[in-house]
Amino acid sequence: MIIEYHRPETMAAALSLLARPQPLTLPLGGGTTLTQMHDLTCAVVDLQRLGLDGLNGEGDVITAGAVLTLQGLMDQAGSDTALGRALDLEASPHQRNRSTLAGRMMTADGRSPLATVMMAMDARLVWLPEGQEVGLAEWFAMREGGRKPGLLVASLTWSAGMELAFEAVARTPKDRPIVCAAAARWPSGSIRAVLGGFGNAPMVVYDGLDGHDIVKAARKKYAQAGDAWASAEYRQEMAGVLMKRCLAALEKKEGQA
Amino acid sequence: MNLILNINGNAMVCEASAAETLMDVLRRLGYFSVKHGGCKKGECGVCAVLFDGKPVNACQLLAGQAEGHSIQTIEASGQHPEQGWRKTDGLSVLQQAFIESGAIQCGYCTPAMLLAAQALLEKDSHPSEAQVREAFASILCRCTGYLKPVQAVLRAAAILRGEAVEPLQAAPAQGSVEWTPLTPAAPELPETPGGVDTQVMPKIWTLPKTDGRTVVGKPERKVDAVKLAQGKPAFTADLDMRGMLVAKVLHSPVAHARIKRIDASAARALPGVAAVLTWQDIPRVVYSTAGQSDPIPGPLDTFSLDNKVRFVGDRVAFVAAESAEIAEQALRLIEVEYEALPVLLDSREAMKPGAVRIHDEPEYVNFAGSDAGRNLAADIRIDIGDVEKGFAEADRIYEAEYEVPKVQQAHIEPHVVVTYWDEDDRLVIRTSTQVPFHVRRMLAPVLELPVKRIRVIKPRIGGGFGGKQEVLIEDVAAHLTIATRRPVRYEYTREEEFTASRSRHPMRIRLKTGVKLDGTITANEMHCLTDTGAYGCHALTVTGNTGHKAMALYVGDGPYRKSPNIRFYADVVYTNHPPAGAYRGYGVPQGYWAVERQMEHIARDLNLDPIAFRLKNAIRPGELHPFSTAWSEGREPRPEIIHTVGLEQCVQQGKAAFGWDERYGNAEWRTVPGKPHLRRGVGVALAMQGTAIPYLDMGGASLKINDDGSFNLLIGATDLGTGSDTVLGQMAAEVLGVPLEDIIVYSSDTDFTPFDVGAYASSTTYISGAAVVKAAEQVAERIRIRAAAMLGERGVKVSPEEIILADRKAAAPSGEAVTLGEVARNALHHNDQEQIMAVASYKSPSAPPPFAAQFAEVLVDVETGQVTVERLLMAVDSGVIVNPVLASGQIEGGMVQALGYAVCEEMVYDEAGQPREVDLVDYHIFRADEMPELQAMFIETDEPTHPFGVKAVAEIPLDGVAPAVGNAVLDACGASLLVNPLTPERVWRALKK
Repeated sequence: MIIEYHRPETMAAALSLLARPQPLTLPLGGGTTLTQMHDLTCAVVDLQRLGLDGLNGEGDVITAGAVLTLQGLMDQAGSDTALGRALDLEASPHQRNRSTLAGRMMTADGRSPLATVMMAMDARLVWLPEGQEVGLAEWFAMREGGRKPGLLVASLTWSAGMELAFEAVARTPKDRPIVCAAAARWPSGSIRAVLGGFGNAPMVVYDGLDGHDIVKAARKKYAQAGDAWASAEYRQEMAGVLMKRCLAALEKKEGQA
Repeated sequence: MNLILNINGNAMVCEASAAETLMDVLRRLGYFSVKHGGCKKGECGVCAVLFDGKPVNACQLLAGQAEGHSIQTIEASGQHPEQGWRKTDGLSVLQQAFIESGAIQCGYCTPAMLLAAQALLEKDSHPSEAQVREAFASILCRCTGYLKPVQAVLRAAAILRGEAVEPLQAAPAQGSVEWTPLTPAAPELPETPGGVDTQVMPKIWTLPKTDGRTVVGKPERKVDAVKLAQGKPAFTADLDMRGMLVAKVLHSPVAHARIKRIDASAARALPGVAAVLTWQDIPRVVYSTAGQSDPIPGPLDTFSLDNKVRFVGDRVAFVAAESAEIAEQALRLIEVEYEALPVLLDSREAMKPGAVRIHDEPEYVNFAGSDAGRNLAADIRIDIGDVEKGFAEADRIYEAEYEVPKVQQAHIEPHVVVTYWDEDDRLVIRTSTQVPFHVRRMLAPVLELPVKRIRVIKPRIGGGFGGKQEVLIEDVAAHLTIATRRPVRYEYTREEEFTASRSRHPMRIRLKTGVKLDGTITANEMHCLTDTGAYGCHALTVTGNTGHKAMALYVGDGPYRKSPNIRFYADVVYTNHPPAGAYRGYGVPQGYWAVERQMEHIARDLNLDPIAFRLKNAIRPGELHPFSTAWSEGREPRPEIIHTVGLEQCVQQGKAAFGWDERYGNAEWRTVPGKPHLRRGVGVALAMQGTAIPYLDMGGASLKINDDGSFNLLIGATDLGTGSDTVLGQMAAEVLGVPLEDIIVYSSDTDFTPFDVGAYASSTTYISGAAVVKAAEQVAERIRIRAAAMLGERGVKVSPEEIILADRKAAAPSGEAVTLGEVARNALHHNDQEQIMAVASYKSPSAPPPFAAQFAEVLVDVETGQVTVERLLMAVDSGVIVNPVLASGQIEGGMVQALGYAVCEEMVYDEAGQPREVDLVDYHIFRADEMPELQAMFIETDEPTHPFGVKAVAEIPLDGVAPAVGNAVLDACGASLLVNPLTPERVWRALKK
């Protein structure tokens, strides 16, 4: 249960509140997750006054503020892009109007289409107060250890200029994916491929220059990916099918370019 | 903390805790248009508000976050146009469009939809259909299928742009010029539906006898639509009472156990807790929760609280507290020691020797073939004709085992009840129920109160679909009110809807069919193994209907038509799954999954046209319902002739509109250019449902005239969003010669309205409607007598029989007339005073089945197995259609529920009985932005057993979609599945075979 609500005017005040040892104090973005965590006793620090909702491009780096809403990102990305499609599957429009980018990445599980795509984009979390950058894959690996008090995600960054592809299979067109795949290709020829739809976090299949058998790697990655929603056999097969489609889409885009 | 919230342009000062959501605070302040769907992840969207002009879920926003922002609810939009001397602008254009277009069924999601539409139109005055669907994508509607709400927004947008929009009455739907002639002709590709003025009204093949009717057959506005469009506090939970407590229930975390020890002392000691009840604190009265007529046709096997739990989610204790938070805290303080018992989850193991016995309580009361010692809740053995002889005469025998899953009704308003003692110390139960009279009768012994000391009020219902044919939670609040003497509200969370509610029965169905090479069915045999879960509510009757309807459609041809050979055997067994119960369709969709898949396999194997094969064997007008002499819901069966069967016309018109002949067997059409992994396919299924339960279902109606010639129609029938209040009002209006607006319809309150069995078995329009017509005819007779006398005083000689009631007048053939207002005032005030009124009731010796032809078109990804349903068309014979907009809304919404049954909905449990689905994220129901194209059309027949010729419409759309989709997948790619839903992995595995 939320026992205190704070709406600081400055980042320093926010960080100070977040650094308190007691009570457990958590940053509040849109509220779509924390409002529903009735079993957790905590104080919340509402970030809405801190100007963390921007989306900027500088050089080849794009920076999205931590409380940029998913709809805000979708408006920029376009609904018919790979990122837009992942956002569409991630949350319904009303939720996209409130749910924040950083909030989603803090709580995403392996079935999150947005986390899958953001990982393929090699998005990085920028933490305050020290400005430390942590890749999403690293974050998902380390978050099991618990969040340290006093830290706050200020923004997410990723590089511009990449081509992106996303594919998913689900029971209906707007259902949560059972398997999804995303792949990004940079002008350097580097490819980053990620699988989602299973487990606690998406999985990086491949990160490097083109030339490897990424489809085979994808199949291997999901060889044990069975749960109540799909067998490992099915997910393994779909990992290959969807990754192949992603790579074909990237190839097509490259051809068009 | 103190907050100033800017709500609808007003600064509202309020207090809120840090944890309170905006939804909680708005409802506490009286903004009851902000509805509560019980969800935890914001998936239902009915609590939507505009937050700085953008639609958001108020349940996912702390009240504190909202300070400094603009909040808008639907209370800010529109007003009733008649407010006495104070003039108003009336309703908004959007609200009016929703009302006129039939976009409002139960109305629970309507405020959210209106706000989402408003935000869209403020951004874009010319939205596309896709944009409207996107705007609705956050709001789950289980009633409408979204089509009419989308059309309403498109109509409103056009009106707001100043364009001329055709009134619904003028839509080109009632004529016959667009219809395919009933003689064989080359079909044409259907027109692509579109345009704001053509989709709302369905196509109806009307009967000549309906010409001249002024109210019946017209797309009248729903009588409750104005209040629902304004978000008025019309639902059970929209009531705040001083001192009201909040109830919560401790549910079992294990699937099967005895409660060895339970200690509620710490919970009772918690400040703010008013009562904690365990099985030791309340009377031990065995009963059934199935809301059915007396005697309940099933075993009595349930207690309000017991010392044994039988499924994950079963009841352990009740708490009433000052707030939900305190109640939840109290639940955590109740200490329970469970003695684990073996868990039985596989229905195939239930009756085997050595299986753990689920009901060993001595109070258990058998019904018919139930046998708790064998975990058997019900058994059915029906033999019609000589089945073995029929098989012996067949050229081919086809056998297969089919499986259908457990699925949820998923009405968006959760189960909710408020109980309190009134000033006469009578217990008032205000509840969202389909069966208010059954609630009163069934709970009286449980609460140790006589029936006369209980009053049940049914406000508007936010959807039921059978889930509220259960007396499910009323006893919880009632026990707590008795214990505390205070008002108590108990509202299910969405999780409780999944873990502690009811569902469609899962079944394993073995089907054996004997066929001659020319396609004549010689015998048909079905064995059902039904999992009723932990309790036997509706066990017998649901499964009985699986056979009674699905196995009655195909009787065979030639000599077999005269003497069909049909066997239907069923075992309905207890397991440690949550109980199943009533769900729209009531066992019949399960049966049609098997029957219609089997028909398809047979037709393909024998190289027969699948539709011709079906029609060759289908029942025809004038034939005996084959089951009518064998079974009647546990009561005495009586022979019943089926008078009207519009199936051939449904097939013909449906085929033409669907473009069946152009698609079926067309190899070129099946492929998608440039996408070799995609295949198209079409499928068909025929269906037959029922209308009410003959010799049992009874409805009553009371009608009285007022001073101005308007009428109060009081009915016990239960409008759960279907529009039955409107339809019944239309029938009364037609008889009395007044517009619908002169009929003030009220339902239901056990103190004031006549008895009605309630809303189930597709009975309301037919049974309650006939009662309304009877009452109206009696009132009309009194009016004619008095009008004749009044006209006689004016020198007009006319007999009462000659008086015509029309245009709010009672007129002589000469044209001389008195108004109904004059008649009313004469009767009430002037001369030989009397209250012109009547009470009537009706039960039927018939249960005339509606029929339908369901068509489906799919796109299958043969690499992933993903099925995308692109079109659904249903041509329906529901007799005469009383309200085409409401009736087509039933078909559209029903098809979408059935679509979930086809491709995505199922409730899955692990080996310990723990559920996989506890919310509407994992249990995915279709959203507005992922819908196939929907089309409903009606072929009217004149059912002679009803004064207006009506039959049922509400349940039949659940029957054909899943098998039609299954058949379409088979057509597309050869994948043959015996299990639904058709999930990607199942299709992929079938393709691998």
